[in-house]
Formats: sequence, C-alpha cells, structure tokens
Amino acid sequence: MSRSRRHFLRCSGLSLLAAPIVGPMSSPVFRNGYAESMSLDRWRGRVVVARNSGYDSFSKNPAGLLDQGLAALLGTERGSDAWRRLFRREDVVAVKVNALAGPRLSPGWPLVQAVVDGLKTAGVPAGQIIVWDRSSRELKRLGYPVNTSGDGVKVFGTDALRQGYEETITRAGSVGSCFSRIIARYATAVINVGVLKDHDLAGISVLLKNFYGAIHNPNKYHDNNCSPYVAHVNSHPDIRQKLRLNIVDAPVGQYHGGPAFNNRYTWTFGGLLLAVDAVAADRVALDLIQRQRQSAGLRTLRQDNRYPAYIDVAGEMGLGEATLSAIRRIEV
Amino acid sequence: MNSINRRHMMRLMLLGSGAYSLGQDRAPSSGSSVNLDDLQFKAEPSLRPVEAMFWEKQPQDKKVKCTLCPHECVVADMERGTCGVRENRDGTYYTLVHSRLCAAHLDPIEKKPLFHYLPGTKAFSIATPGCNLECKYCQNWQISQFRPEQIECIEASPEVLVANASRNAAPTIAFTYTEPVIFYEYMYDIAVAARPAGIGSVMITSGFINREPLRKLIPELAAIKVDFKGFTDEFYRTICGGELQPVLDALVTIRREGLWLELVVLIVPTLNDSIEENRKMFHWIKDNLGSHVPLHLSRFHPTYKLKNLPATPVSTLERLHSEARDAGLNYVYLGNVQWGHPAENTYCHSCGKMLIRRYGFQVVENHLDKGHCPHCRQSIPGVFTKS
Ligand code: SF4
Repeated sequence: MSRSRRHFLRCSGLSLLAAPIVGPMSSPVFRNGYAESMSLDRWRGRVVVARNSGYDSFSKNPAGLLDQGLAALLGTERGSDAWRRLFRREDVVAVKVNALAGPRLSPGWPLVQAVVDGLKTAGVPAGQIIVWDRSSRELKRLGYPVNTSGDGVKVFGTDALRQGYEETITRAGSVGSCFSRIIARYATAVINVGVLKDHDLAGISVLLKNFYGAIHNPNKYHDNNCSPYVAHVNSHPDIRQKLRLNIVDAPVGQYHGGPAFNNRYTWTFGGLLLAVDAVAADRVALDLIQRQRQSAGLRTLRQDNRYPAYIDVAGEMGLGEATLSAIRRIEV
Repeated sequence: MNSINRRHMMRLMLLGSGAYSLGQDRAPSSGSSVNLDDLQFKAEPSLRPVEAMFWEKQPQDKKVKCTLCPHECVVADMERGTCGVRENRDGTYYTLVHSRLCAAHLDPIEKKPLFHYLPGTKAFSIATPGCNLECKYCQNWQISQFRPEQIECIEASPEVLVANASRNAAPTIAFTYTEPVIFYEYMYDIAVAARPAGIGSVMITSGFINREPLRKLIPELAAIKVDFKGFTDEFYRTICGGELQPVLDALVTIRREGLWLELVVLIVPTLNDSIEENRKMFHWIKDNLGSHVPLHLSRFHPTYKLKNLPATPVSTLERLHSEARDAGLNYVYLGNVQWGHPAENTYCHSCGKMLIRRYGFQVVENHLDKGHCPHCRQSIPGVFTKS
C-alpha cells in the first residue's frame, strides 16, 4: 500500500474519533536553580550552532563546546550558570537519547557525560539523572554503561522496567498512547538529545521525532510522514511541561538513507545544536540537511514526498518557532 | 524451555488482564516522589529474530517490502512495519515474535467463537504481541498494540506448544487474542508440527492478509474464524486502520479452498449498525460464501479508544439476526448477550429442531448424530468429528 493511501486511511480515522483539537498553547513555567520562576518562552526561536573543527566523531569529548554553547543560548557568562538557569537540585532529570542507529549515528557517551557533569554543577545529584531510550539493548549497543541500581547515573531503557509504560492510554491530539513512565512519572525535567539525520518516512529525525521513543506504539503513527503525529506527541503535557533543553550531537550529520547509519550519505558537521525551543532547532536542522542534499545533487525532501510537515504543525500549535526567518541562529 | 509449567500458564493468563482505561488529556506530574532506587526491573527480553517468510528486497538503501499483509510496508533498515513485530536488519526482514508467547489459555472452542467445529471441546489458545490493525474497540489492546519487547513473554517452541496441547488433551490449538497474521511463521510452524500429533489448528483472525501467504497456510489449518469488521471501506479505514476489499478477497479465497469458516461481526452502535448496510453484507455473504457459513453477531462493549459509545442494545442484535435469516443465512448466532439466549443454540436448517443447546460458552445439550440432525437426518455443515 502506498504511503499516500495509508495517510488517507489514518487521517480519515481521526475525524471520526473526534480527537481533541490542539490549539496554540501557553508556555510552560518552571522553577530553576536560582529559585526563579522561568518561562521557556523566553528562549523561543533561539538556536545555537556551536562548531569546532576538531569535533568530528561521536567518541570525542564536546564538554567545552557544550558549556560554551549553552552560555550563549541562555545569555550567561559561564556554562555552570546556564545549567542552574534551567535545572535545580530537586529535579529528576530524564536525558532522552536516540539510540536507534547504533554507535556511528547516535549521541556519544562523552556528550552524555558532559550533560551529566553540567547537571551536577546545577546541584542535581547523579542518582537523580536517568539516561534512557526505548530499550537497554540499544543503549548497550552504543557502549553506554547500563546501570539500573546503586549509585550514580541510571542508564536503562523503558523496556527494562517491570512496568515501563503507563497502564492507560492518554491522548495528545490525534495520538493515543501509553507513555513511558520515565517521562510520565519519574522525571521532573527532560533533556532531549538527538542527532542530525535524515529519516526515510519522517523526512528528518532530529529532536521532535525522538519522542516517538517515549510512546508504546510508534509504528502506528508513521503514515503521512509522521505528520501531524510527531507534533501531537510533543504537545503531550509530560513533554511540553518538562522539556527544558534540546541538544543535537552532530560531529557528523546524515542527509539521506536514514534512519540507519549509512556512511555514503554522511558529512562532517563538527558541532552541536542547542535550543530550549525544539521546534526551532528542528527547523534549523532541516535547513542544514536540505542544503547538504542540494550540494549532493539530491532532490529536496518535499520533492521526495517526505517533507517533515510536523515541524510546521508544531509551530502552528505554539510549541515553538517553525519559521526559519524568525529564528535567531547564534553561531559559536 | 521444555514445557510451559503451571506457573508460566498462570502468569500468561494474568498478562493482559489488568485494568485499563482511556485517560483524558491530563496535567503532567509536577514532581517525582519516586525513589529511583526502588524501581523494579525485569529480565532483558531475548528477541531472537527469525527470517520472515514473505518479503522482498527493494532496490535502494537496504529497504525491504513486507508482502504478508495488505499494508505492504516498505521498511528502511533498522525500522519496523506497522505491526511493530517485524524488523529490517541490514536489508533482511525478520519476525521478532517467533516462539514468544504472551498468552496461553485452555478455552472452550465456543469462546473463539467456533460453533460448528468440534463443539464442547477445548482449544489450547495462544498469542504473541502485536497486530497489523488498530481497532479502536480492541478488547486485547494491552497485548495487541504493544511491541514484543514491551510485554513479558515466555519462549515456547512449536514442539513445546504441541506437547503442552497434547498434555492438556486439547484437540485444537487456536491462534487468537491478538492477530495471528503477524506471527505467521510461528503459527505455520506450530500448525505443521501439530498435525502429526492429531491436533487441529484454528486461526482467529481479521482476515487482513495477502493471498499468497493465506493460500500457503490454509492446508495446515482445520478451521478459521474471521472477524468481519463491517461492510464499508470507511469503517475499516477509520475504526480499524485497514481496508475492506482485501478482507473480502481473503474470505472468497478461504471459501474456494474449502477451509471451514465462521464469521463474527461486532455490531458497534452508530458506526456499523445500520440495517441497510448489514443487509447488503448478509446478501454478500450468502452470494459469495454460501448460506451455511455460521455468522455470529456480537455485542460491543465500550473499551480502549471507543469509550464514548454505549453497549449495543440487544434489540439491535435481534433485529439484525432476523434480517440475516431473511437474507437466507441458515446459521446466525448472537454473542456477548445474556447467557441462555435462544440465538446461542444451533437449529437444523432443514427441520428447525434444536441440535445444540448452549449456555454461554458451555454446550449443555448436543443431539447431533455424527454431524447429522437426529430428526430429519440432514447433514449439518461443520467439522463435528476429529479427522
Ligand atoms: S505484516 Fe506487519 S510489516 Fe508486514 S505488511 Fe503487515 S503491518 Fe506491515
């Protein structure tokens, strides 16, 4: 069955089920490490592109680049101040990585380690940090030190938990899913760590799409290039209210042939993207991937019938800034 | 694992039986009061991939096309099809649910329901996680709508299953609860292993399967029950995530191949309960499948993503029952109604005398004489003796 036909099947299903209409959303507010009440809207439309020619592999340590970029994003003098502007000691922080493509196209452990160190500077104890994706198996494949007990950072997949997903379906627009308990019950704050890559069905899989790893039934939402489903998943209160920081680990990017790693279509990007606003960061990532496709002589994602319209939907829903010209790109 | 012991059986029987509800959009939890050191973990699931039987390589980037069901998912490397249980690994397509049991029960065959197949006997009934459809009223969504690694399963080879069915003196193994199409390879291997042991295999399915795999499977089966969702493509698309025509094609194929077939239609208020639409369906059944195919009209109860509708009024089912009889269908039953309803019983299509009296899933009287009506000697359609 062709994609367009399935899209039709899925979309016509939505109308009958009378899914709640998701309109523009108010901005989440949280308390930070300075006991200030902060609105995430403050950093809407800001994306830092932090690059360093030496950062050309997932195995290299980007700690300096991360702190520098974060300070630029939040307008603080030092990286440590930036971490405290977003997190406080009481937080339980869930660091969602995208482990699907294996070690050559997934966030590197050195970056995750740098995130953990940053959280510690904000006073968050290591035992209150969970690094996670769908399955421990995938995390192990990346070489992450899976840890379910004892001291230190917890590293495990939702599937490792005896009760990994919520028992009830919750709706987020057209999506009806059981959410991972890591995000629904345990975390008070979330960091989303993605990679810069193409996706066969979704167009790109960078940040917004990464939260398909938080629901039990992602395969039911791949029609119509995952739109509007990706945007709707991101509108779920557990993501919308808890997501504080987005990081794209991009020593390399992949502009075609995703979501699996395909060396033929990779390029050295040598950097990170940082944003509080995931929609803006995805929009910038889309631009980077499109340019790379153009220079490789490939068709645009729209011509390829897999333009990630969910980014625009997310913008219309007020989840972030989706208009490229309205995004402030800060180069570091 | 050599056998499914009692503890495993108990566990499997409990799996998927927990409470569930369609929650409302809700506020997020404001903070974690959970001590992360108290989290409970389970053993890492062992997903042993087995190469799928029906798929084709695609020309570009290690993509594959699954040809098992009419979705015909084109799947990129490392990804899965819509059912969530088949995965492309480096350009080869695998099933992840071969030998991964998530449910096993010893059920009356009437519970499937199959009323004209060895009445009063037990079926060793099994499932793996996953489904290629997503019916908004699925009763078993806690196993059908999850991926294999998300559900506690036990490993049971086809041989182990057949041995367990034998030990339980079950003449039948039923593939049921979720959608057996998505565990096709496991089902096929079990059916092949069960035949020499004198055990028949029955498939309880939505019939959303391509012709080639269906035709390969049919000779290994003893009977099939198809959940006919409704008679409009709109209903299939909007409520079930499927299509009508492939199901009609599958039904005709089953009929042509001579496999014993029964049909269930779950009547959902306002969505597929129109008299006109059902009348068309009854005539289609008679014209294409014959007047002897048993038809079970079943009562909807609100569940999963359809909680906003009431249960089907019994009067609606009774009205449709007489419409189906008027259309020329000889064996029409009502399901999920109060036990002891006269439409649970089997009556001879020739003389009208009662042949089998049921109370719920229990056969309380069976007057059949070697598959014949004892009153008028009419041969009754069905499978009434073990081959
Ligand atoms: S069996 Fe699964 S993977 Fe294959 S076509 Fe159907 S839904 Fe897609």
